[in-house]
Amino acid sequence: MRLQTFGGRAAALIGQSVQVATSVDTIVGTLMWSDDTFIRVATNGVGGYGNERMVTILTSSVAYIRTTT
Amino acid sequence: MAAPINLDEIVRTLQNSIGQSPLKQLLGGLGSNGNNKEIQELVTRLFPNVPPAAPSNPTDPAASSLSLNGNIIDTILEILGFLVPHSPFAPMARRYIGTQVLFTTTAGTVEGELIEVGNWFAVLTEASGSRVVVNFNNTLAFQPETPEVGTI
Repeated sequence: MRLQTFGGRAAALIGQSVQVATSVDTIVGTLMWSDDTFIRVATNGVGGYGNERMVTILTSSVAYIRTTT
Repeated sequence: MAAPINLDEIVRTLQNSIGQSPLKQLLGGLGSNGNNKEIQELVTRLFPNVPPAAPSNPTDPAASSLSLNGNIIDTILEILGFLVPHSPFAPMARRYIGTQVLFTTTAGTVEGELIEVGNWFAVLTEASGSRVVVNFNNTLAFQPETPEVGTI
């Protein structure tokens, strides 16, 4: 059941500002999607120039998600 | 604090909702795949007067309704956390809900008050007020800040 999985629980945070931490990097932005396969984060543009990018992260590689609002 | 779940009452409700006969067949089916032995033992303890039935005939027209009932029961048991595989951290962490804990993950440590534990995640509130959802798949260690009584 999705509610009992990490990806399913993270879906409750969709729309919130988050930090998604993996062993390699931490992605900061707005959580757009989460399921048991992928987590998608809309990152802010670099230096305030826009260029918003959608980052897709393998859910199994995520160590934790922190809400920042 | 929420009242503890009365499993006996839930199973009794299930029995009333699906009828005695399908439940007997269900008891016969449980354990057939080798993964539900604990469930079978649990239900057998709860219903000592309900003998296990022979495996159902796949050509039986009642099989589809049995399967439906089984799915309903599976879903309820799933909600209760019986059938879904879970991280070994999950039952350990559940004992410390409401206390300060520390998780060591592949991306560093996370510390705060443990407020929720799922089969594959835990939710903490950090001192700063931030909410953190920890993935047990990438958790290396769990450390409650209050040691258990009797532990060294």
